[in-house]
Amino acid sequence: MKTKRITVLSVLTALAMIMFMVESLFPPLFIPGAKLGLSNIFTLLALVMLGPADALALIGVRTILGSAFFGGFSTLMYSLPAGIVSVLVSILLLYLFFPHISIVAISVTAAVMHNLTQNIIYCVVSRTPQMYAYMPYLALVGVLAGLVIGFTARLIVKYVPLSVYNRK
Amino acid sequence: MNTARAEQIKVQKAFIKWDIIVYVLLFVIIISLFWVFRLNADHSFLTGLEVYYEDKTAGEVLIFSYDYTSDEYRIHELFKDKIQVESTPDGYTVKILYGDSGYNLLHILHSGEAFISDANCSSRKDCVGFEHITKGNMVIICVPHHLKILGIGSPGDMPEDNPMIG
Repeated sequence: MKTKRITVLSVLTALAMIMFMVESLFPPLFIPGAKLGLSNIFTLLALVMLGPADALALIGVRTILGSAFFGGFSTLMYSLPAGIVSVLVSILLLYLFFPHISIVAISVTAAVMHNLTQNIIYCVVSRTPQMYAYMPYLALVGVLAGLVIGFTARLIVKYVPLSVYNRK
Repeated sequence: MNTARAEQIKVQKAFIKWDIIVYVLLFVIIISLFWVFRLNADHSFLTGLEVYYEDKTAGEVLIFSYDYTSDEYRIHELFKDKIQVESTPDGYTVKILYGDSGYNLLHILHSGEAFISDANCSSRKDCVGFEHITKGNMVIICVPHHLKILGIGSPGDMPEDNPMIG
């Protein structure tokens, strides 16, 4: 079973990388630096289908490789902590409140926290407090991103047979 | 793998009763952010501009500055061949070069505005999408070209509000 798990996780990570690369080619969404973060569809899938450790591994590999290919160390400094925070938020909500709250609500909260964390780190590291002015808008984009990611992940769980993740 | 959880997601609706608490909390957070960072923001009258370059060794260097009141600009000595200023009918066009072929086009308007119209920093061109600087404390950032353009303001120095001027 271990091999299968590693294989599924690798495929999800590869899909996340591709999504990240494709999305980085598009212009920003409404405000500078903002995007939907569609690669997190696969982070969320890894979390619900495999487990917390798998989701953290995915986000770690994806941000490190993503920064290596498209950004550099500075990109990593902003994206890794934000990615980890959003996965931790998802883990907490999933284990404490699911199924009393939906997977979409978890996704929305995680996306908002991701954007806020990234903005705070950016403002602190680059000593640019003026960028806090974009926080409310980033939170709004986070809501939109979380809805898109949550609904998509839900559709995938719903319609892709479980045998894809787990041989039975 | 957690089959039980996957089965639950399969049958669960996209919106369920207790979600409302999550969304209300997020709504409160977003409203507070608007209140703190937009409504209460310190936006003073724009009197100048400062362009900073984040150097790997020297740190943040002021490479260009412009004063709206005296209509004068200054360029850092070491950046004289990196910054090309062109006078236009309504202000200045400042081309800031980066590396071998990088550039950002900064427009300074006498009407009290500044913005970047074009750059070749990335396919996303985040710096072009920033709000135009029209007040003090507003900022435009180009992360790939290590640039920060800062609006300088002087609080309470709004000519419109001052009956002694004019």
